[in-house]
Amino acid sequence: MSTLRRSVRGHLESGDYAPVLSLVVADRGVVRALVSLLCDPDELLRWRAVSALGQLAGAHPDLAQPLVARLYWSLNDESGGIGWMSAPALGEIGRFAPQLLSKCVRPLVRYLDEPFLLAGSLWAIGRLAPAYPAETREVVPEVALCCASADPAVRASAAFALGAVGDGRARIALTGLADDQSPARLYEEGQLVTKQVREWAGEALSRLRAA
Amino acid sequence: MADHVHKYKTPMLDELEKGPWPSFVKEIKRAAAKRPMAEGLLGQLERSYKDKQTYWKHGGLVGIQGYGAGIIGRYSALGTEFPEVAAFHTVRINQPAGWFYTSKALRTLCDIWDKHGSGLLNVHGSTGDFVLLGTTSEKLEDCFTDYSNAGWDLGGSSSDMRTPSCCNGMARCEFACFDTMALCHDLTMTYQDELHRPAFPYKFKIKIAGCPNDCVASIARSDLSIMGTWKDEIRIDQAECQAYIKAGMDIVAEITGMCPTACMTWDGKTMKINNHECNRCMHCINFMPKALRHGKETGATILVGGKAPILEGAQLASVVVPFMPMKAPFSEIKEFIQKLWDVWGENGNNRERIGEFMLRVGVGNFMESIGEAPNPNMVMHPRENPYIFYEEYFEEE
Repeated sequence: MSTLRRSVRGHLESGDYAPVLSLVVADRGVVRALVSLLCDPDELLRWRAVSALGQLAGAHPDLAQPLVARLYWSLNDESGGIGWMSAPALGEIGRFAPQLLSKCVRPLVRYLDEPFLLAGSLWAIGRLAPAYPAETREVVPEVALCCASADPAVRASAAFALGAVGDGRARIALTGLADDQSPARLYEEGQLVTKQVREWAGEALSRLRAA
Repeated sequence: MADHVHKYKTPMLDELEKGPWPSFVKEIKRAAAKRPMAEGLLGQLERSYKDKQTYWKHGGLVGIQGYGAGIIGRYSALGTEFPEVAAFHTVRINQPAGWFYTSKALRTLCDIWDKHGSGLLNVHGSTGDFVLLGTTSEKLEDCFTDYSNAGWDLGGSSSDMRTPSCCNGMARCEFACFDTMALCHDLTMTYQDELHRPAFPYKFKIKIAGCPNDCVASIARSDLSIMGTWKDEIRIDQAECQAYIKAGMDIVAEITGMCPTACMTWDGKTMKINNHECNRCMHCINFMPKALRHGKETGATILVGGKAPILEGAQLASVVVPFMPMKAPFSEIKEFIQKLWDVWGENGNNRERIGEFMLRVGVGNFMESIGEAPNPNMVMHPRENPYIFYEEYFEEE
């Protein structure tokens, strides 16, 4: 592992993004290190790399701009790559630097039939909601369908996305999760948080506007 | 095996079993006696031959948690018709340097694959990996766990450093100018993150050849070709030259007359070589290995930018460093690799190989960006267009 990657990894372990943003000014290799950390064996670090890329995009959009095409490509890589965390990274980049992604929500919906990418794509839609309210409202019907998934993580991610979009049309789908006691882990505020799906759905319901 | 009744009729594939040559159809049929996936493969392949088109499609992403590469998702476009191969993913296993295996290791590899996959192999893929053909998404994690527990790891794929590969060099070949396998192993272990976690604009292949014969075709197949060479003079054993004469060799016709740079002479008694003109074609050394040997001051020539055609046409790699010492811990080449990755990693476009990047920015700019001095040997011929002016002219004004 390179010294730079080790250093960036260390900052992510302590949840401290400021030194990463300082480091990138002197060494642009930090961007590559963060992309690499999107595939780290440690799940929490993968998510924190997502957060760091979002903050980097906000602070240095010029450095994040070339990543957008690369991350989109990795979602459809025919040569053996799997962008496990590319959708969340795009979501976070779009949240902090909306100018870098145009018409980005509809393409993410394409990945809702990819089992390996589904939960991450839903999470990304949720993160994009404040920056792209109209676009994310358009995809509420597709996202709501994911509340019927067999995978609790997908149901919880769909609930998170629907809550973030805040469209009243999601009420029926979210209400349908009211008795869902399956545990599901989502990334929230820099931590991996496990709650029952019904709790994730309850929080989402409280964020809905009147239909 | 012979009385196994195949599910699908394969008249066209059956033709490929005829004749004295080994037949992949025969091998797939053998596997099909035990594995339904191989049976399905026969059916789909026959259909492809009939319709003259492939029915494999890239239908989705699959992988191992903690890795961003190493598994290639493959799906059949005729999954309903051939359900056995509806999902038929490829697993790349990082091969040992020089492709040396014990029979026990091969058995372990195959036993695990029999348990989790189709039993079909591609040994080896052009990347160098031990390639396992055909498994399903559900079996991937267990398959990986078994390989990992047996001491194997995934190879590269996607926009990462692909699994480095090398010729078997000093283990079997007297022409090897450095220990290719030691370098290959060292680079593989040093760059585990780059191998498993794609972070580059596109793929980056490293191939290592022990001498200019380049048996692994590194110059045509890799972004970074590390090719053995020597700095000093070709060693000549005049007595052995005489032995070749006695054995019937016509040295003038077969050796010195064939020299592409005409740097050799043979007067009937003595072989002379003007080493400054030697372009390392290896013809004389290959044909008179007892009489001629490469020099003692050995290392490697570093070439960058080779690739097969995908986005742009095929390119041979260009010499960037004419000579670099190649001894453990290989610090110089690692420093060089890091410079390449920094420049290309930050400035390369998405899906742009480093050779295409060099063309886009110009070889001069590329050399400057990686801190290497241009070498007159890189110039194929003098400029033809008198309207090109160099920066120096402007500076003089």
